[in-house]
Amino acid sequence: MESRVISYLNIPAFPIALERIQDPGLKEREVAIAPRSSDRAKLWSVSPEARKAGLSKGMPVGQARKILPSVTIVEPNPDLYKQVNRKLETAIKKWLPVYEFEREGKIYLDYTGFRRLYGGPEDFSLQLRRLLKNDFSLDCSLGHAANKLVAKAAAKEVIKGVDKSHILNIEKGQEAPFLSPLEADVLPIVRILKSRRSTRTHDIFADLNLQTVADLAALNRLYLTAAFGPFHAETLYQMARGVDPRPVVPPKREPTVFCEEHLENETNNIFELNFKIENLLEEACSKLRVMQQYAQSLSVGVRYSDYKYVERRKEFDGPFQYQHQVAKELRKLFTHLLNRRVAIRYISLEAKGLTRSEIQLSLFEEEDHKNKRVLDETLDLLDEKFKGKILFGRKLLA
Amino acid sequence: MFHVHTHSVYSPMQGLASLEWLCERARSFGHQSLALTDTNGLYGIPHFIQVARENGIKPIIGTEFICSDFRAVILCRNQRGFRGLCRLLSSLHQKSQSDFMSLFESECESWIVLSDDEKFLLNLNTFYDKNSLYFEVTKGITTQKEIKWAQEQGIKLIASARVHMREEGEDDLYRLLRAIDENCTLEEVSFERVHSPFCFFANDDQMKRWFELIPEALHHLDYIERHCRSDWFTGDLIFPQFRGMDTEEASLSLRQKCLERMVWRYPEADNGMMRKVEERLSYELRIIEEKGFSNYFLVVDDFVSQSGINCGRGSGAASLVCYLLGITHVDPIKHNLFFERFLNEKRVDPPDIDIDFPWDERDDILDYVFRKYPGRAAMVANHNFLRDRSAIREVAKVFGIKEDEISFITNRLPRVEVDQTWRKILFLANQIQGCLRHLSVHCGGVVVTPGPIEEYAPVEWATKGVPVIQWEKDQTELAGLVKVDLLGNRSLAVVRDSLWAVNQNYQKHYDYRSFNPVDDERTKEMMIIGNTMGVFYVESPGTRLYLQKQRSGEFEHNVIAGSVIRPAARRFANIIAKRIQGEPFTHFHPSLKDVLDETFGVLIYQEQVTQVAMILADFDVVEGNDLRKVLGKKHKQKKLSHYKEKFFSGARKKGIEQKTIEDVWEMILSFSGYSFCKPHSASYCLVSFKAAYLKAHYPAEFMAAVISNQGGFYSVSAYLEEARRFGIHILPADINESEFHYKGFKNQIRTGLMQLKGIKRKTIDQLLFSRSEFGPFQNITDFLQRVEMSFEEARTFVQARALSSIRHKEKVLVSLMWDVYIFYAQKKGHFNGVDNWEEMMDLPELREYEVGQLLGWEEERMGALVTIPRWRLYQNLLKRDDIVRGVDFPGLVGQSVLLYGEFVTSKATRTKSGDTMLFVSFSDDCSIYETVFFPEAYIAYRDILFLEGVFLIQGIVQDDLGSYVLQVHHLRRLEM
Repeated sequence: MESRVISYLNIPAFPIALERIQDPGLKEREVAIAPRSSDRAKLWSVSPEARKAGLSKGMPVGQARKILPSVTIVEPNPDLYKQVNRKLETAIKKWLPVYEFEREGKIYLDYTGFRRLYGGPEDFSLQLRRLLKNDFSLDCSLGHAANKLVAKAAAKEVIKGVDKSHILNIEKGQEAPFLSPLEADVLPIVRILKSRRSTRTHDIFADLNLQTVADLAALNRLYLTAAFGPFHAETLYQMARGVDPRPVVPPKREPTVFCEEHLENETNNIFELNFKIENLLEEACSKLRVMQQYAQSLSVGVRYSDYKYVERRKEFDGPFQYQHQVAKELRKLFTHLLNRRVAIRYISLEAKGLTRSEIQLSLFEEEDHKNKRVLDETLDLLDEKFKGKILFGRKLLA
Repeated sequence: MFHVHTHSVYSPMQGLASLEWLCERARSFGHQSLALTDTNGLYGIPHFIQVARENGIKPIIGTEFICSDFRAVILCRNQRGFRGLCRLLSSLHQKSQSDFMSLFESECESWIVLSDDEKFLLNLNTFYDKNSLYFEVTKGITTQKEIKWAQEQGIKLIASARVHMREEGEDDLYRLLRAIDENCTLEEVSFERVHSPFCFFANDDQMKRWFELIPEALHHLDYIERHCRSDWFTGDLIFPQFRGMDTEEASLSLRQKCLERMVWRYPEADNGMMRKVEERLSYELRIIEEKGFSNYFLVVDDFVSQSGINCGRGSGAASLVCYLLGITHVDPIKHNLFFERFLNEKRVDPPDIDIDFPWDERDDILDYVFRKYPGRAAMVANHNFLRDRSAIREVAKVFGIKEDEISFITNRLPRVEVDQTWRKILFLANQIQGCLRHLSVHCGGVVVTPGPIEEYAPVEWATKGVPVIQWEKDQTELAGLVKVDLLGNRSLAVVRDSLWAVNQNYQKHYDYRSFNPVDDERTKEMMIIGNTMGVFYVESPGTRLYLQKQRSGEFEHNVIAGSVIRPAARRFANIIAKRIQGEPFTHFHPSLKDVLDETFGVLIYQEQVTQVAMILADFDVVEGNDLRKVLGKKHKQKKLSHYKEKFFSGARKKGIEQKTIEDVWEMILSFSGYSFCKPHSASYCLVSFKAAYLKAHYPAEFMAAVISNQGGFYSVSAYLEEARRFGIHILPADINESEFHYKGFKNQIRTGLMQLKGIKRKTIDQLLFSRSEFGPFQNITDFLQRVEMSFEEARTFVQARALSSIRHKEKVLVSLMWDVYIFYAQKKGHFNGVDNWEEMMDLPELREYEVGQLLGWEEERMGALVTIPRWRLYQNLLKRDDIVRGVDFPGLVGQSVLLYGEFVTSKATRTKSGDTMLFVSFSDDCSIYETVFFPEAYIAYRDILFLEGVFLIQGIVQDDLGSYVLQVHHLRRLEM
């Protein structure tokens, strides 16, 4: 049986790579992505040039400017990054069925069993790099190994090297020697532990002077237990030796109806915002009816002007297709969500839990519901007939 | 006609009009009276009475009382009503379960009550007569049905505009104010019924038009106007009572105390001196007795007796009585202190005695005051108004602007271009400035009253659990309440702790009260060279530079030094320094010699303005004092013109030449702004001499006390550097050696455990107890078993290297950290079920921490580099021959030099053209030295200047009267 082959595709500084496509003037310059309004805002992404000069992701803008006054700060454009990522996914899907997006621009590919189709992993990588270069104008690095941990470490390592091919293959059995001199952060469990600031595990590595994977590999299970507790000790023990049984998990997507609005003028006017959310509900319900689907829950998200994003979800007693069935509850949910005075820049509404029919049909439909249903359906027909050329209801008011 | 229900800016976030605006508007409408009825408080009443009098308006005192059950406007008919109102408001703010209705009942003859709450009115109708209870009718709020109801019940109607706004059309502005208060957006403001668009300061025609169908509602205003008292706060002072003594008993007791303590203060005085003392004492006591202030002095004496260490400051230090009582410690006769600045026969405002206590004893003193005078003492408040940036910030928040953007704009105003939204925000913020936002507690002002304090002023409870009256210090004074300022002073604690350590270490017997080192040569020398870092009152870079210019260690000259660097006299600093060094000078007029000789012909002290006006233009003491007060205020032009006229005519009458008069007046005018009086400066200067003496003779004990008491002008690392420059070794914190505080002895300072961040006081106490009871800790396990502490705390001890005394030399520090981890893992039960786990614990070879890591922890865990000076990290870089030191400046004047330094402190200022420039103190291994960054250099280096680290500095040395400053041209931050 062929052993597992996992590839890791890494587009370094993905947001910056995209911004550079949009604005070629940014190429080879020290660039960072961050909200520009404040010195305290954190850097979302930094270009390799800026990283060399001492900037790093998560650093406050003010500090970055002090370290590197010449740095160009670009306002983030999360929607662009999502959009390109979606396109990337579509392209990858055509090649391999099992892939996993770690985050935007970072993908695990399960290459097991595809040797006959595409040749060795190096050959496949070359083809993939060519595709990204030609179709997306993006550069990437790839690592191949028997598991996700080592594949990712290889892809990251390859960027630091001088090998122009940007591809590194770690043979089975070579995992532990390969990882040994690398920084302990290369192990995902270490990154997870360090990110949990509340439990202060971040400091353990500094406390015990555990800097490299070799430092961790030198400890027996008891020492790891004393430092990290029994729960993480075993994982650390395995990973420090290059063992990672995690599978590549393809994305699971349930069908939903998604509507969003980017507000041209940021506002905290509750009347205006209520109007917008009701508009989105109307749009979502209309889509549900066209799809002949019912939804069981609604998820509302808002992004404030300071980029803070909050989301709330509400499960309803029964499936719905018409706005009047859920409008009141939605307004309550929305009001509850808006607990800050900061202006809103973006609102989204997602109808989830789609089903083909109502679970329990009412034997005698209420008169009020019937009237509203008939009205909505008539409006849907008009909308379909005139393809959006006719305005009514909220659209007219808008 | 008049407005019977008016809110000013003193209604917390419920009124837009200032008191000045209200009174002026009332006068312009021809109103005789005005009732101020701020919400649930009398926050602005003393000020209102003053402004109303100035405008010829009869002030009527009241409040709009809003509780959970009802709302009513209460107006005071008389003094009893005022007391009752204070009680009612106090009980509301203290959230005690008071029966408000019983208070309403008991005050039925001293209050007039207006309300539109039907249930409440029906309740009151049974015991209030027809002329004391009214149904409040307001345009846009009251309905016809309600008016009819009142008429059926026989309750008289009263016309009220419920003034919350100034002009018609300000309802949006008012809504904004409410949105700020309710922390919501404009659309979410709960628009209660009391806020109709008609709630503005309407004129008579508007009121007549609004109430033309019920004219009796307007007629009833006349009754209220006639029957409410308006002659409030007529200048009677309210003094505390000491042990229930009447004025006569108190005077006798005070005289007795003063006489008893004369021997203590003047043990070796000859007859001539004693005669002087007796004369001055009888003069002061006569004035104190005539004014009825004896009780006040006894109360203050009582406070002071609670602490062995204090420093009476302010004008009170000019009083011999205060000196004898031990309230102050500078001899007013020896140092020629002007008593009349403090008290005089004609002075009408209350005396003001300010006393400093060691910062850590101040709360005990306050506790004593509240224990000794239960229910009769309270703190004075501070009023926090919406001002400039706070107003802009609040308005911007209502408009949904994000926090970062608000900071961005407010930090750059007015030099930032703003969009239309921001222009609107700035406009609106300007409109709502001056509205009372909330109360806070004055840092030390305490009021003690002869009876329950709630009858003299409304009292609230601050979050820290102390009672606070609703007035700030000026209004407290206007209301006739006499306050005492009890302030915390860290330097007194420094002197106390140093003296204690010196007495302990060297078997000395220094006593703070009698310790007077003003003639000590080493102390003087220290003052002359400005080596006064850590020394109270003279440690700032500006003062140290001035001391270097003045080059005098005389006490009188240093009293001048403390005053001359304050804004009013700062421009004369160089002139004075030259004259102290012997430059000849003449007085504007020979008669000024007696007053200005001690300050070399220049006005330095506040009271000299009074004295000059008295001598040259025959002002009496009160007028002279008033002139002095006016000089220190803003918007003084109008009042000053009156004094100018008087000064010129008075001087002319004495035959003084016009040119001289003009010159002297010019000198008086130049003395505007913040300044000190001599008694204050002398009082502080004595403390600074005591501190300087200790630094000169016992630097280890002194610097240890400076750092232990925290909060000085400089950082801990700067003080440690200073100690090192005195040849003192700084020893690290250690669990077997350190005490809680820093400990100085001979040429060593042992870092205190207090310096370890994140270690609870309880843990340290337990550690010290365990050590004293059971001896030193033997090893890490012994330590962790004997002292109960959290895992975090145990880590901190390792990271801060406080375990040196229990660490085996061959073991690396990492192994101690592993011991901590294993100890706590075992405690948590992580090894349960593992047999012989201890045998399996065989550590691999450990790598020791890197130096950078250890120093990083040291800074993080101790807040400073304690074990080594920072510059030592760059020693290799600094071995260049061309690098000089700050101490070399005198021989390098005018030359371009290169030196290194660690940032110590800075002070920004503006050039005449408005550009920013910066004075920065740096330190090297030999001294602390001063530099100046002119605008060009400041702009070039401001981004790196405040970063931690050591800098390479290039500039030109300049000499300013013997003080040396480096004008910086280039700056580079050194990389390790």
